[in-house]
Amino acid sequence: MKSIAVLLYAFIFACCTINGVAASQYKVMIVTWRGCEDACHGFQKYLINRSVDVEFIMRDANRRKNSIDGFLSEARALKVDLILTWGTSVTSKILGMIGDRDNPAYNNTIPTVFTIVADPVGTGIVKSLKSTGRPNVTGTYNRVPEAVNIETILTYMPEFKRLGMIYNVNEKNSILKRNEVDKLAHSMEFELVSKQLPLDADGEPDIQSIGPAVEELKAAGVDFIYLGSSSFLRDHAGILTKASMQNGLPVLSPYEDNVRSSDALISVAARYHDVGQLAGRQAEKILVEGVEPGDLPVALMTNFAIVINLAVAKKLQRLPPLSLLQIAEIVN
Amino acid sequence: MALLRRIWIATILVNLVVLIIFVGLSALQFGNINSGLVGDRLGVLAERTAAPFEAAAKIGLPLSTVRNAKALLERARQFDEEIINILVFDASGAVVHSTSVEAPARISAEAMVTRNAAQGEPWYKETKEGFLSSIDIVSSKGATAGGIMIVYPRGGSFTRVLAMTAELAFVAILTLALSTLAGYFLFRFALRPQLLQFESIEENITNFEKAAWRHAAGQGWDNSLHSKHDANMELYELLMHTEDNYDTIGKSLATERGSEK
Repeated sequence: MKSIAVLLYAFIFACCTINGVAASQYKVMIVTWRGCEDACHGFQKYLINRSVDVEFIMRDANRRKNSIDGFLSEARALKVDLILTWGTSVTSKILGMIGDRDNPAYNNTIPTVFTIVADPVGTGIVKSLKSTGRPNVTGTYNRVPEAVNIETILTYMPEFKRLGMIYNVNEKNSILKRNEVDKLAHSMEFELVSKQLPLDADGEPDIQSIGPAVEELKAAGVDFIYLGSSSFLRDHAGILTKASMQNGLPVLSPYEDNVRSSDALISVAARYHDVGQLAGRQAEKILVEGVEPGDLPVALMTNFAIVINLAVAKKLQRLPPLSLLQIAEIVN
Repeated sequence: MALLRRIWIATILVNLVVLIIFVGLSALQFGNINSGLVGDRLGVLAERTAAPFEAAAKIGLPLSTVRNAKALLERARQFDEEIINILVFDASGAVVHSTSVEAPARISAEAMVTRNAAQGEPWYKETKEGFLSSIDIVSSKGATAGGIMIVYPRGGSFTRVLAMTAELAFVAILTLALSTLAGYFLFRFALRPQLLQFESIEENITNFEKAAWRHAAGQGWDNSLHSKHDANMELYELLMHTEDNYDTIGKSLATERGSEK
């Protein structure tokens, strides 16, 4: 009896030990630009809620492009099943452009889902949103067309004539958005005044230059400032929106948190948490359902909201029109 | 009294028919008015519900991408707890938002046909699924981005029509009862001279018939009979003429019976 009991205990211990150290079914590397934020959390939460057995390997570029270089080789060494890339800079460093499909310096084998990429087609990462043109790549798209942002400004300020934009040449998406808005200027009958942020010796934009750039836009007689697309400006939205407020200029940001947490007046955007969940759904299709990433079109966000910071509107003495108030989410 | 009874019954029947027609027509009219009022109310609600979605469409957002759509629709639905469903559909008729968890994929074919016929104008229709009220949502470019449709139950309206019919019927029955009672006394007093005359004539005819038969049986005439008819000479003459005829016929009948014996 004693030996049977010992065997039983040994069996139970062995089972527990195996369970305790058992590797997860899937390894997913999450490469972020500025830490794990809402989209990153949304992605993880989705897969966990769907009971997908995933081990997340977190890698953060900490806003430095050079930091990204080693992540791909590490992912190959760890034999991850999927990579989630966050942002244009990270995604373009990991995947390269569509012409890099045979370039071993970029990932052309490990399934990859990109998210929070302002213009994946314009950047050249994928062929189109319907078909990425890359067998191992799919992603999410969370931006509204730029025309929607301009129409929103026109609805808010019918007398709007001149738009101000600050852009960062260090970020391809920032330049692309500036050019996209410039193209719209003619057809939508407004004037674009854009200011490029000067770069320092390391090729990085200077935070101190944001305030003066806003003042220059004010001097140029702009009616509204549009943040465009820039991780740098998003990170320093507090400085940008504060300077705008001081100059009596309203800001439309494509990032909802700039309205909720900073002094941007209005945004038309999707929640990053929802975008992350959408990326999670794409990952689930690849990992669990066995769908080839290249067969999946880029998933488009379908939940957008107009968010208005009423405190900012009051400070600027420019309350929103009734039509926008009827649909907008009001904060502060 | 027989004449009064007949006139009274005839009047009751005429009143009854008139009241039935009145109640029926009133119920139909009420049904139409009620239906129109429900339509107007739902039309206003549809317009109010469509306003925020129109704001989204005006800036170029597809209706399906409005994040707080559910909250906007639920707020509208709370105006009337009876509302079955409020739908937002796109230009093709595909339902993109709904207050119901079991929303149809598309608006019904009947609704689609009515919508096409309305050519962008707000429309209202009573169908098997209920009252439908809809309004189109136009985008900034003037194209139709979709619309709002409210589905409202017909049951409540039907109940209201039934209640109104019952109320009208009750009033009609009460009116009939009162008019019947009033009519009886009205006829009785208003036609009193005529009724008395008629009764008198009736009585005289009866008495005359009795006298004629008595005379035919060999008994004498009751001359007091004639004096009762002084007030009506024409009738008297008629009676005299009739009396002669009876006399002649009576005698001939007596002769015939005597010869038979």
